[in-house]
Amino acid sequence: MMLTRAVTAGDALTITPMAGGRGASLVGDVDLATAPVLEAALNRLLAGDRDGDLHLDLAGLHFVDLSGVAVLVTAAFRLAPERALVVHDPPPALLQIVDRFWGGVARIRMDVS
Amino acid sequence: MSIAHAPGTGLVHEALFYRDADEYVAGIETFLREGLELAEPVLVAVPGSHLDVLRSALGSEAQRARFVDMAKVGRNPGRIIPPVLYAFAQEHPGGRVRIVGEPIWPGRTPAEYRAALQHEALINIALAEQAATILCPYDRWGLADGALADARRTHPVLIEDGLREPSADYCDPRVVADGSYKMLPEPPEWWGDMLVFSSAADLRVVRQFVEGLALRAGLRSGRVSDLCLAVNEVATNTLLHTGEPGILSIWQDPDTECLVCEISDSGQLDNRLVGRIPPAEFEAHGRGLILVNTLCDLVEMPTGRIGAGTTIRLHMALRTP
Repeated sequence: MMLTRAVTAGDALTITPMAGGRGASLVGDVDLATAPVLEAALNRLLAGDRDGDLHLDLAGLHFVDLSGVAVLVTAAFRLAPERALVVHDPPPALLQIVDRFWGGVARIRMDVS
Repeated sequence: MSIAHAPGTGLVHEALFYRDADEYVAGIETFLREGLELAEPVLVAVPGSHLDVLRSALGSEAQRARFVDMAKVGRNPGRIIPPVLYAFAQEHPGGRVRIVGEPIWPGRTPAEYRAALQHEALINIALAEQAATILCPYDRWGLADGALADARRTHPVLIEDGLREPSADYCDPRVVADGSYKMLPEPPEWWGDMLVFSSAADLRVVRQFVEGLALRAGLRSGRVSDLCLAVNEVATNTLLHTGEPGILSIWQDPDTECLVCEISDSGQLDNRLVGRIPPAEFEAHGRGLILVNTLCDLVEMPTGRIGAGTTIRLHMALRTP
């Protein structure tokens, strides 16, 4: 099933789908409490059988921990080889963690403005 | 001075006790040139000014070696093995690598020294299977006698006065690593601030608590984010591995001008190598404490069974040196 409406985890994290299933916008914190919600939302986005890159707008992401980054990296690896996960305005910690642990292998494209 | 190094298959871990700059250069230069002659990849990880001394000693050969500033990469001794020593060995599979590693120097604070001693002991376990020859220089005049005695316990081989001999005092690295934290000092009498956390939903409060106190203490904002992430990862481990509440305490250490965050819980860190060996790319766990070591200026992480639980202390310098 596609991600068709916003998913929330209390007031800690809100995931709002972009038009046409291109991806989603995240607002709030991803940590031990909310990473499962992000994972479920990404599973839905990945289940939609479509072409093109998967976009995540992280401008409103206040915090992401290691488990949250692992969820994103796992999602990126599950995309078909010709598709990429494009992350817009990632928080510095995300860049740092991907670089430290998955540098060179993660199929994540960082769009840092 | 002639020193023969028998390669063997696994780790060779030696301490060089030097008295002055001449002995320092002579001992290390011999070691490095021997490696370069054997076409071994060579890494020199020594603090600040020592880099230039060794570079000029090697002359044109210096370009065949890699130099890193141990005072920076090894400021927190807990982050030396994964990204420096282990990574260098992994980068050159199939052959022996040669490393000069100087993690202990005069001027290390007592807390840094404890972590560096634990690091020296754990090298013997963490890198046991690596084809690496590691030479650790020790300043015989500048360091306290206790540090030299410790070096005899953490290095199977000693080079002293031009003689290379097995260390009679070398002992089980697990005992040394655990022992390095037997004397974790009490926090200051005035405990600063405390917070108990018991569920994943509390982690946001934990981060806000750290952020507020760190900003008030004057930590730069980029470092505040680092500290929040580090405390978050340790607190997450508490919740995942103990299923019980943890206690976060924060205080300022006036001696070192550091902000200290202590997380204590009821768990036991049985695996001494946790945070020392990076997991494979697709492995789900094992990165948390490596990340914490990367983010903080110092991490005190006792190993072995001490008391009723685990206490981890994260230090952040309030002033940049």
